[in-house]
Amino acid sequence: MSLRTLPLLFINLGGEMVYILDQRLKAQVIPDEKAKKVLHDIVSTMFNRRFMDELFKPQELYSKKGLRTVFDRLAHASIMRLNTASMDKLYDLMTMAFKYQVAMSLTPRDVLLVTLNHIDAIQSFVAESPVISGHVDNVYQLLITNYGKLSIGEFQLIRQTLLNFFQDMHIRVSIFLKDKVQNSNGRFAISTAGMVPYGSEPPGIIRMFSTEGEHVKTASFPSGGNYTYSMQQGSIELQGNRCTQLGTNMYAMNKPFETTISVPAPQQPMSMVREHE
Amino acid sequence: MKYCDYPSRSLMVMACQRGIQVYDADGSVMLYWHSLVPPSSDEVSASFARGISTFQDCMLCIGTDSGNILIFDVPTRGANIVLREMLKGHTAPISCLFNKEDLLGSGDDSGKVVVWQHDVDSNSIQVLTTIDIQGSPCSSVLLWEELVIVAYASGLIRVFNVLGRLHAEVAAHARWITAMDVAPATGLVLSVSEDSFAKIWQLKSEDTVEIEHKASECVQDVQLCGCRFTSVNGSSFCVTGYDLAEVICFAAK
Repeated sequence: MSLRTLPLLFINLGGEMVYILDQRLKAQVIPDEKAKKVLHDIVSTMFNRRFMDELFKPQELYSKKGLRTVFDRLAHASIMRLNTASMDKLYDLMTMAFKYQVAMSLTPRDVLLVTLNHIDAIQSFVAESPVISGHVDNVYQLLITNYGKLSIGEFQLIRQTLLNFFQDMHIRVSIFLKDKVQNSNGRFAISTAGMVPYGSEPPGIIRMFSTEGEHVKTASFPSGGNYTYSMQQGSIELQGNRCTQLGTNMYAMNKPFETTISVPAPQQPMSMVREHE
Repeated sequence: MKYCDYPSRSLMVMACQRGIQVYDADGSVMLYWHSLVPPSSDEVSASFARGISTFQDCMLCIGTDSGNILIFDVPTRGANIVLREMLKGHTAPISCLFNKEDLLGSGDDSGKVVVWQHDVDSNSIQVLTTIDIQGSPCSSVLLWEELVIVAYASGLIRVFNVLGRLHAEVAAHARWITAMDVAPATGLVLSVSEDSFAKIWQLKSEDTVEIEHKASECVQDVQLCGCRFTSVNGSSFCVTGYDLAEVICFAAK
């Protein structure tokens, strides 16, 4: 397992948390000033420089319980208060969303692009505060320094460590069920159509070579799916095109949506944000 | 983890973070532990072992993240497993090992494949061939007849002869190929991938070397990560997948 996984786990889960809180603050018509303060306080705590320096040291992942405690504390780093049920639902949504992003990444390196999508969005949430914006920039630099030059094999190890952490979590999320990216049994839908990773070839061709190394014959076979080339590689530059939607804010779409989570008992809305002054 | 079968015994071998554990066949007794880090070290170590194979019915081979392959002598009985040497042909982490008779194939994360040969007379292991195509990690390597079959993270399968000449290249899968197996009696090859497909290929090595697609099976919504033929002629096989508690078995009609 990789010892470089924890920063990616924390930053991406934190990013999902910010998306969900922003959506709930808007849905409950919390005044702009207060909503902004909540998000600014949370992002500021999340990206505290000393905490980030510790996080980026090579280490094993926290336990599931340990990580949940970290996010419990983070969610209460502002004037916002959540009851236990709301915090449970928030954490379930965060973890299932990131699990989906890691599982569906076209290549292992896309986990870094997903992280940068989260960073880009967080930066837009705190753009009005130069201090907090500076913290986010610092984290971007840490990501590029620590992950910018890793090999595909090292990224696959990180991805496998993350998938291991999320193994056997099959919580059904209504926004995923609605978009048909998750089945009613909790499994993510894997499409047999779409792009292959950048630099790879859609399946279906066999090339034969002569003893002189010349390509002499081509045969084709049914690939079983409908795949196309990727035309562009995702960029890790500050303003680069990440070329993936994974890690962007799925709650910001222009359609009616819910962030409820289906539970065995009667459905309950996520009634979390009760302001506390 | 792998069951290693020798003429007189079977061992259950686990390649782990920081070391290697060897158990007896039912996993009840640990016979041997080899640490990849100095025993006195409390520091967090990134070392790991990956890739397990028997070799010539008397040795155990384990790959490591440093690129070295550890070779152990395995006695016919008892726990006296001894590290005999380290093969140094790779600099990137080993991803897979495969043994056929006196040949050992090893692949690494950079895409390099080395075929090693054991010489019984001198009892030494030497490099026979190096196939160094960089760019995509090698995820699995097989040896069949005079051929070396290599699967890559890019979804490609390449067929070489043991001296390194490329015979065929297949754009086989849309995602990382996670495992392969070969049925030695018939030359059927099984490959599985995170694209949820298990595919069967027929190798031919008489006049010309060819590879032909025979069948595909899609295990819906499952990223496959392991596979094995369960019959010598390849008429049945099993697969495993991420987040899947079941082993799924297929058989030819």
